Amino acid sequence: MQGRMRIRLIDVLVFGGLIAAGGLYGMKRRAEASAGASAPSEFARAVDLSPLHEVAVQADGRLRSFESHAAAYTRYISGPRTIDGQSQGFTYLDMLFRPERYSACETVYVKNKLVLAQILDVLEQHGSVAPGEREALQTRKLLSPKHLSDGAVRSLLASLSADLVRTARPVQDINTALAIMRPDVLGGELRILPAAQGATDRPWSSLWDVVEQASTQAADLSPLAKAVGVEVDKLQELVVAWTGLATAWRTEKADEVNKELTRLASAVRSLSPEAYPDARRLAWESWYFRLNSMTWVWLVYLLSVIPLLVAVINRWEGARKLGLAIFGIAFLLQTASVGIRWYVSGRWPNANMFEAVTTSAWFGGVLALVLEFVARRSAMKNLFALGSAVVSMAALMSVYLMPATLDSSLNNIMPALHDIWLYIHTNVIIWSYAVIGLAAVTALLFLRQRWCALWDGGEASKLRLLLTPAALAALNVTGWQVLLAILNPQGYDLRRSFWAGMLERCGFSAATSAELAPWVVVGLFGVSATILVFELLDARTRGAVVKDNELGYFGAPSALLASGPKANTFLKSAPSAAQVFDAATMVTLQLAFIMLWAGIVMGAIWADHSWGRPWGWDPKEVFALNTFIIFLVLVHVRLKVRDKGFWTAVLAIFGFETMMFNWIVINFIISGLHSYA
Amino acid sequence: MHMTNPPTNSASPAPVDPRGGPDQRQDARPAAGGRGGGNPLVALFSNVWLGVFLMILLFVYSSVGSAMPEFRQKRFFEMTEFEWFHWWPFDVLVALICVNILVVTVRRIPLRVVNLGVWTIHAGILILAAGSVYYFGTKIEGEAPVYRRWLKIEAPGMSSPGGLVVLPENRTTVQTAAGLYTLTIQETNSEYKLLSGPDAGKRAHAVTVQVQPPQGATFSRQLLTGYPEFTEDVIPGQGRAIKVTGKALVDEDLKLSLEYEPQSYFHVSSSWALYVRDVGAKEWVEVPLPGMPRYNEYVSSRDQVFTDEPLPLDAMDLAVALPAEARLAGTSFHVTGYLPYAEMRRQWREGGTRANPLLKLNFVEMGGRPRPVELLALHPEQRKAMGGLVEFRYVPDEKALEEIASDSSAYLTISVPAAGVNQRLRVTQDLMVGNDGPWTAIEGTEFSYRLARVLEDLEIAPGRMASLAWVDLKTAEKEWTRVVLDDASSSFDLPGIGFDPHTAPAPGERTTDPRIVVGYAPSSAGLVFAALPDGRLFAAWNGPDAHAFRRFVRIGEALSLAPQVTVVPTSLLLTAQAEVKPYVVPMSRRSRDAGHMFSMIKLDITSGGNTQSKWLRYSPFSFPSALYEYPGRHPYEPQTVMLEGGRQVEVLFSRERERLPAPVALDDFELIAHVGGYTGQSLTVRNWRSALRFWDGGAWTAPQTVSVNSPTEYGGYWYYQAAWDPPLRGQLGSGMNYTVLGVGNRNGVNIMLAGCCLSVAGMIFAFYVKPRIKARRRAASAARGERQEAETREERIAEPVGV
Repeated sequence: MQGRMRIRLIDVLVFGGLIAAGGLYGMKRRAEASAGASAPSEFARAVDLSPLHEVAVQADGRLRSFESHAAAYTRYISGPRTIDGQSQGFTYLDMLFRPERYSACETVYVKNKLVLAQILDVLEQHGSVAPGEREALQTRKLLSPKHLSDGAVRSLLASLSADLVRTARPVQDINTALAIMRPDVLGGELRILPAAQGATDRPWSSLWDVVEQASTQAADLSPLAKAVGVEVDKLQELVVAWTGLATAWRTEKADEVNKELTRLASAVRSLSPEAYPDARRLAWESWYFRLNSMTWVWLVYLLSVIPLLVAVINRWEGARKLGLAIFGIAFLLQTASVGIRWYVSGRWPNANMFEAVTTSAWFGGVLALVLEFVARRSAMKNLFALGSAVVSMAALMSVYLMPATLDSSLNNIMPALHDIWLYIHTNVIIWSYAVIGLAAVTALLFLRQRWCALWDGGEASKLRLLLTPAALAALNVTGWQVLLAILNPQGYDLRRSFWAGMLERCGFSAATSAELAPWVVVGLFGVSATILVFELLDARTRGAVVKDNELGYFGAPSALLASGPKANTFLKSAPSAAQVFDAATMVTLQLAFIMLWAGIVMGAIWADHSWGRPWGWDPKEVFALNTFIIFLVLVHVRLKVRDKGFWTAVLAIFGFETMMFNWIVINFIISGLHSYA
Repeated sequence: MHMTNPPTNSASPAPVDPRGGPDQRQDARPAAGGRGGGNPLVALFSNVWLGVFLMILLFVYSSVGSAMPEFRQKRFFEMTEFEWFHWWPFDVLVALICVNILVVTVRRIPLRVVNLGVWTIHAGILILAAGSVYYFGTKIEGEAPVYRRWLKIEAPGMSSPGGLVVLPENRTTVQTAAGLYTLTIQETNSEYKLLSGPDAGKRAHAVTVQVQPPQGATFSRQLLTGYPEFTEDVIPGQGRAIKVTGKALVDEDLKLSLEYEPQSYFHVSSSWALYVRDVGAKEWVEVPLPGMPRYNEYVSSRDQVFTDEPLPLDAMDLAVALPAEARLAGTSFHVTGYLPYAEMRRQWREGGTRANPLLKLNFVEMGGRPRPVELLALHPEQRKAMGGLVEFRYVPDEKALEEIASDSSAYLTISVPAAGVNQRLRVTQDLMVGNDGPWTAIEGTEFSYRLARVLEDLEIAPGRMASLAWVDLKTAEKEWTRVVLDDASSSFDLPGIGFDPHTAPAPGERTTDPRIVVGYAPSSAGLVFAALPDGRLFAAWNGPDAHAFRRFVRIGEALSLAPQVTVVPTSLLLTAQAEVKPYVVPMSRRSRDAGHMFSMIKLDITSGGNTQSKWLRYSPFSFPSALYEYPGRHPYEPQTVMLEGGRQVEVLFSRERERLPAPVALDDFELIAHVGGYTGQSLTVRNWRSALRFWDGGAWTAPQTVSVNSPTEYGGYWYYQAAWDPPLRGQLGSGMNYTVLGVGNRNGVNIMLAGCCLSVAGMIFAFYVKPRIKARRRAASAARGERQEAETREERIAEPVGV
C-alpha cells in the first residue's frame, strides 16, 4: 500500500481518548451503582439458590426460570441497581420473607431526574435527608419506601402525576415499585405450582397464596389441593417445605434454608413432570441472567479494536492475527448470547430495543466475517473486522451502560410481530443498520487519512486542521442538545444540561450558569457548524489536489470479489490508503443501500397485508426513507463530483447519523407504531 | 453545489465538460444529446444536480413533517401526518423529481446492457410513484365497531319485535299484551362451558338477561349463541326453573333470541362530521365538516371556556351545509368554536335567583399542597366534607348561631311509644359494645338493646353521605339488628343479628318494627361554618383547647386548627349559580394517546331568529342509540336542540362515515392467550380471532376469519383487527362483546410493489453485475492489445452516465 500510514498523535488522541472516555464512563456508572451499598450479609452469601435454577415461574404469559423472574421483578423496584450486593434472587426472597428489612432501606430506583430532585427537595425541607446525603442519593437514584411514603412526598407525587407529559410516568413507576415490594405481591406472583393436567390456558398457582389460605382455614388441605390441582399429600409436603423455608429464612439459618430450597425445588418439579418446562432451558435462562445478559462482551470487542486498528494503520501481520483472534472470540461470545436468548425464549431475538441493538450488532459481525474471508488477500483486509468490532462494541456498551433504558428482560412479543414478513423486514432493516455503522467506521478512517495528507502537505494551517475534528465533535454533542431542545421531549431544558455544571465548576453562580448554558450550547453549535461548512466548501477546491480517486465509481465490490490471481485489479497492486478506505466504504454502503431499500419495501409488504396500508407516514418509516434518501444523494453526488472519496465519506457519516436519529430520537421521543424495535 | 459543472440552465450552449460529465458524442440519438442546446427547461431537468437538490429538499420536508409534529400542527397548517405528505408542495416536489428522473434517464443514459441497472431502477421508481398517485389519491380508511349480538324480543301483543344490543347493563322495556316487561342484560360470558349435548365440553357465548315481568317475581333467562335449544330460566334463590317448576321457561310467552348485529358503515379516520336527526328517529343524517381545524383552540371569547393558561383568541365560523334530507330549511348551523382537548366543568358564581350559599375553603397542611373544599349549605349531601370534619350551615340570624353545639358528640335516641319511654343517649366508647357485648334492658318495656357500631359520613353513592348505627334489639321472642340511618325514614330491620347479603331485604321491601323507634344523630363536625343572609361568616372549632374558637371570620383569614393545620375560607357566595363550560385542559395534562377523544365544537343553531349555542363533545361513532356507548372507549354524547315551533332534533359531533360494500356481522370473537391465560396485561395476549360474515345478496357468507396480521378482504376493502373489548380484570369470559375492525382500500399496491421489485433488481444489476461485465470487456480489450488510453477513455465515457 502506498501512502504513509502510521500511528500519529491524532490517532492516539482521538481513539485513545474515546476508549478512555468510554471506559472511565463505564467505571463511573459502576461506581455510582455500587456506592453506598454494603457487601452482602453473611446469610446472603451462605444461601445457595442453585436448586431454584431449574424451577419455573409462570408470569406475564411465559414460563421463565426463577432467576429470570426475580431479575424482572427486582428491576421494576430497583432498576439497574443491586441492593446490598445481593443477587436478585436473594433480594426477591428476602423482600418476601423479611419485608421489614427493606422499609428503611434504599431500594426504589427513581430514574427521572426532575422527579428525583423534587422529592429530595421535599425530604430536605423536612429534615428527612441531611444536605450531605443528598448528593449520594442523587447519583445513586435510590430512595427508601419510608421516604417515599412520607405525607409530603405523597402529596408531591400526587401533583406530579397530573403532568401527563413529563412526570406522570415516573410517578407511576415509583408506585409500581412500592406495590411490587409488598410480600403479598411478590408471593402471589411467584406462581410455581403448575396448572392441573398441564393446562396452558389456566394460570399456575402460587405456593405463598396456598400457605396463606391454609393458615386461615382448618387443617384440611383437600379443598385447596383440589383448587390447585395437586394431590393432598404432595401439597402437604410443599406447604411444610415452604413454611420451613420461611422460618429458616427469618431466623437466618442458611443450612436449613438450603435444605428446604432443595426439597421445595424437587417437590415442585415432580408435581407434573410431563408438563414441566425443560430443566436445561430453565438452567440456561438462569445462567444467562446471572451473567448479566452477557452485555460485558463489549470489553472483549474493545480489546480487539486496538490490535485491529494497529493492523489497519501499520499493517502488522502480528496485530492482524491477534486482533482477528480476539474479534473471533468476542463474536463467538456474542453468538452464544444471541443463541441462548433464542433458545430460552423460543423466538429469534428481535422484538424489543435491547434485542434490536444486540442482534443488529451480531448481524454486522456475520457480514464482517464473510467480507474478511473474501477480502483476505486484498488491501481491504482487517477493515471490516475493525468496523464490526467498533459497531458491536458501541452497541453492547450502550446496553451495558443503560440497562434501565434498554431492558434485557425476556418477554412475549406482541401479536403483531408473529409474522414471517415482519420477521424478515425487521431483520433486514437492523442488519442494514449495522452495515451502515460499518461504512461509517471506514468513512471516518478515510477522513482521518485525508486530514493527515493535508497536515503533511502543509497547505492548510495546523491550527485550522486541529480545529476541524474538534468542531466535528462539538457539533455532534451540541447538535444533539439543540435537537432535543427543539423537539422538547419531556421538557428537556438546555439550562440543565451538563454545560451548566461545567460553568459552575468554572466559578459561575448556579443561576448564571443556568442562564449561560443555552448560549454556550447554541454558540458552540453555531461556531462548529460554521467551521465545518467552511471546510466543506473549501474541500471542493481541494479536489484537484488530492489524487485519491482513481478507483472510480462503483467497482469496488466487484474488484473485491474478483481478487483472484487472474483478476486485473488495482487493489492487489498498490492502492493508496485513502483508496482502500473509500473502496471498503463502498463495499459496505452498496450492501446497506440495497438492504435498507429492500427492508423498507418488505415492511410495506407486511403493513399492506396486515392493515391494507403499505405506507402510513409513521415517523419511523419516514426516517428510514430519509436515511435512504441520504444514500441516494450519495450515489448521485459520487457520480458527479471529482473528489469522490471525500464526499462519499461525508455523506456516509451523515447517513449514519440520520439512522441513529431514527433509532434514538424517533424511538424514544417521537415514538410511533414501531416503538418496539 | 455546481462545482464541477458550469451552470446548466443558461440558454447559451455550454462547453463540453472535459472532466467526466456525460458526453453526447456517445449518444446514438443526436437530438437527445446536447444539454445546452434546445429548451433551457429540458436542459435544467437533464441535470443530475437538480435531482440531488430536490432530494435534499425532500429530506428536509419529510424531516420537518415527521420529527417536528408541532410544526405541521400550527394554526396555519393544522395538518395530520397524512395531510402534510399530501399537501401540494410535497406533490410538486415529487412530481419534479419524477420529471427529472424521466428526462435524465431518457436524454443522458444510453440504453445499453451496462446501463440496464439504472434504467430499471429509474423505471421502478417512476412506476412506484405512479402507483402511489393511484393509491393515495383513492385511499380511504376507517373503523367499524361490530357488536356481537342483538337480543331479539318477541311477545304476544307486540307489533314488531323489539330488542337491544348485547352489552352488560343495557336495559329496555317492551309493551306487550300482558303488560310492561323490563329486560336488562345482566352478564355475558364468552367462556361458558357446555355441559351436555353433542358439543359438551366446548365453549360458547352465554348471555344472561334479567327479566322483570309485568306480574310476578324477577327471573333470569340464559341464552347461548348457536344453541337456542338450551335457553332456560333461572329463578333467583331457587335455581334452574326446570328443577323448580318442571319447565325450562318461567314465561313461555316471552321469546328471546340472539341475532347478528350487522354494521353497515365505517367511520373515516381523521375526518369530521355533524349528524342530525329528529328526536325519536333512527337514522342519522350525515353532514361532513370539511375545513375544520384539528390541533388548536378556536374561540372568539375567553368567556366561553374555563382555562388555566393564556388562550389566544382565534374566531372561526364554519357554515354547516345542511343537506335537503335533514329537512332543516330555515335553520342554519354554524361551527363557531373548536377545542382539541377539553372537558365540561361546573363552576360556581354569584347571581342565582334563590339562596344557595356556597363556601370554598382551602385546607393547608404544613409542607403539603392546599386542599380545596367546596360546601353547599342547603344540599344535604354537600353540606359536609373531609369525612365529616367540616360542615357548612346557613342560619337566618345571629340567634341561631347559639345552636351550633359546643358539644359535637353523636346521640342515639330510643323511644317505645306504647310505654311512653324516651331515651337520649350520648354515643361514647362505653355505649358501643359491639355485636357480642352485653344487652341493656330498656326499663318498663320488653326490649333490650345494644349498640354494635356506628359508621359516620359513609359515601353511599357518589356525593351522597349518610351516617348509620347498627343497633341490636331483643325481645323475649326474637333478636334482630336495626340499621338506623341519620335520615330516620331510611332505617330498616334485618331478619336476624348481623348482615347477611342473602337474607337482607331488598331496598323496596325494607320495614321496621313499629313498636320501637330508634334514631341516630351523628356527631356534628368539629369545624362548623355558618353563613348569615347579610354575608357574614361565623366559624366554630371544637378543637384542642389552645386552638378552639367561636367567632366571625373574614374571607381570606387563615384559621389555625392545630399546630400544623390551617384552614382558609377563600370565598363565600350566597346565591351561587352553577356555570357549565368547557375547561381547556392544560398541555401538560393531555394524554398523548387520546387522539381527538376529548375534542369539542361549539355549534350555533339559528332557528326562527333565535340563536342558541351548544358545546358538542366528539363521539367517534354515530351509533343508532346510547345503548352502543362504551364510556371511556367510545363515548356517545348527542345533544337535543329545541327548534322554532317546538321541533326537537338531536345533533352529534363525530366523523364522516362511508357505507361498507355489504353489512358485516361478527359471528364469533375469540381471545388467544399465552400460557397461563389472559391476566389483563397486553403481554399475555397471543392473538384475537374474529369470524366475520357479510350480507351477500340475501344470505350471509361463510365466516371469514380476521386476526392480527391476517386480514380478510370483501368488496374491495380489507378488514383487520383494530381494537377490542377486553375482559374485566380477573373475570375471564366477560367483555368480548364487540370488535373494532379497521377498514381500508388498497388500490394500486401491486403497481407500487412491481416498481419496488424492479428497483431492487436494478440495484443488484448496477452494483454487482455491471462492474463484472465491464471488467470482462476490459480484459477482452486488453487481450486484443488495444492501447491503455483507449480503455481509459471508454471508462470515462461509459461510467458517468450510468450508476
